[in-house]
Amino acid sequence: MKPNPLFKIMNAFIVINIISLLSQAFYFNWAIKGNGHMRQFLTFFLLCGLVFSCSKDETAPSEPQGRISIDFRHFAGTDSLLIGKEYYPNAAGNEYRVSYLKYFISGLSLYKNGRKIWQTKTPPISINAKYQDCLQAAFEQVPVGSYDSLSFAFGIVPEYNYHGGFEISNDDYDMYWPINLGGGYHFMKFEGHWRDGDEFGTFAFHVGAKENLIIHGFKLPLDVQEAQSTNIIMTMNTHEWFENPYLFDLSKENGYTMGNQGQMNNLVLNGQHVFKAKLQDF
Amino acid sequence: MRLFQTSQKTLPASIVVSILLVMLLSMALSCQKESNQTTRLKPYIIELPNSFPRLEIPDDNQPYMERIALGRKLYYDSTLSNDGRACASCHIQAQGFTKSSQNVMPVLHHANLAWKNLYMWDGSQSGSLEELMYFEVTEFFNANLSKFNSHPEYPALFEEAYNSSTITAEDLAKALAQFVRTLISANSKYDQVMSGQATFTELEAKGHAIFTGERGSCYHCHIPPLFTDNRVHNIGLDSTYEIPANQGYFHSTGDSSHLGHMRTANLRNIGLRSSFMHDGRFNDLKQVLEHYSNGVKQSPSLDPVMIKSNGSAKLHFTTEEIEALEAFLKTLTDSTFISNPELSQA
Repeated sequence: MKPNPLFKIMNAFIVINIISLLSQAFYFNWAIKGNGHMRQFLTFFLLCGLVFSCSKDETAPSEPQGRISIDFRHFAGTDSLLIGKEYYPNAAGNEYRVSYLKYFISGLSLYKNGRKIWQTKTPPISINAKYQDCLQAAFEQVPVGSYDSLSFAFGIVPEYNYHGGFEISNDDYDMYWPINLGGGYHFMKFEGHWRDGDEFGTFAFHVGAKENLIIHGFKLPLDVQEAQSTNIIMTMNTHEWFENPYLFDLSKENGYTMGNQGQMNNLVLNGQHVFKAKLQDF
Repeated sequence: MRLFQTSQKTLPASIVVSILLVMLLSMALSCQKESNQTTRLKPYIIELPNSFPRLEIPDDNQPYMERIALGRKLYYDSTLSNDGRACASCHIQAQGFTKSSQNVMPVLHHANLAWKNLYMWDGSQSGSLEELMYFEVTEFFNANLSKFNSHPEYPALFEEAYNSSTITAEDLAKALAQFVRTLISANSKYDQVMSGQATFTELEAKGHAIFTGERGSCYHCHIPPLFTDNRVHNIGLDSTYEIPANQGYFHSTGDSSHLGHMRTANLRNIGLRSSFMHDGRFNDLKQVLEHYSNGVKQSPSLDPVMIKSNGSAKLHFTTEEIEALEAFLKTLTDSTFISNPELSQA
């Protein structure tokens, strides 16, 4: 937020008067004593300095900080996930094709020796598997140091999960979760089509509401260095949504989970295993 | 006491310092403005309606009164086309900035376009409002720029608003985007109920509950308060897609999974319309609701959200439920929007 210029000028007058008084008492005594012009000139030049600094970021970091960047990658088993293109076999023997995969992550936290050291204040970040520019979550102002593990919420932590809880963009507007189902936003929309022999159909794995938040934790040695980015690769295997531990047979059961807490429970169980994390090699 | 001495006169120091301070104050207040060119224009603040998402406006086309007025003039001016049409010929304010017609492709209405990023029924245009308007100027209207550059008024207006000595298609698009961005519909009975200024009737309340609950699940695509989700969906109007006009987003992607996918219609002011769907096949709201009740057709590209938890794409509404939904949808009519003189021809 940019400072109010009027407020700055008022502050400047106070500062000037203090400087002026001190100056009269010490080094600038010769110039100012009996010479109001000089004081007014000094006032003018100091005001100039303050006014022209109005667009600078005045927040000085209190401790050395670095950055953590997480690149999300999506696979169906060992194949790179192609949205809307390929059918992939799942554990139940159906083939599925993904038409949409979008989710939020939030609440990145860093730990050392089992103690939480830091948690981001960055609002939830959406990841859209279809778009290359929607696959990265970056976290700034991470305290420099060594950490041995991290966690994040798959979905939206409660402090943000209500309508207006954070600034939603046009691109993420479709993640709205209705008030009468608890409000806030979808944690995930994972949609597509399936086929099994002559049968075909659709699935819409939607998850939301605080009871369905999934916390992912990973043992990962992180060395955050000042003004440097520590890069993590987070890989989602979409097969896991269908099989581990709950086997989703789309030819036998409905894949529309909205308003069906039982099916969302199954997704929360399976969702525990969808990610693998590693540090990016350079 | 003298500060500056000229050949004949001197100025009091207090006056000089006062002038300097006034200059400083002026500089301070202007230090956040985007450029020297726009400092002489009158800024316009677009008020964000309650619960609307962030408004994204390109840095190089920030809203100013002069630019909006220019866009408004263009919107109602047939100079834009070569056949006597203006934008307003088909986007009629009294009808919610669309045009009622039956059994033909309905004109998409211009309301809350500032929050869209996918345009046309088949989603074939995307990007900012400026990009959409560039398409309208260059391809839809094929505007003749020489008519604008030799016009008795436009050169001076563009010089003032955009510092343009020669009017380009980009200039026309930017100005049109400025006006279209102000076409905001957010004062319907629905909005008044949401802000506690009005109450639904019993029937409207029932329709609202169906709309926003799993019974109707309409909210999945028609997300309030915009009543669209800025995506494309196949809602099961057809089971096969040989007819090119029905193929929808497939035209943009070539992906068979997008056959029949059309952009989600914004339902605001839907009570004013008399044709529905991309080909105008339905002529009243009851027919639309009957489609969702019993008419959804299966196909390999049917949108996943159309199959509900009971495994059926047909919602089997009762007559009372259809009446309730219709009553609720009519609360989206914004009489302020369709009569606001600031949006009319100047």
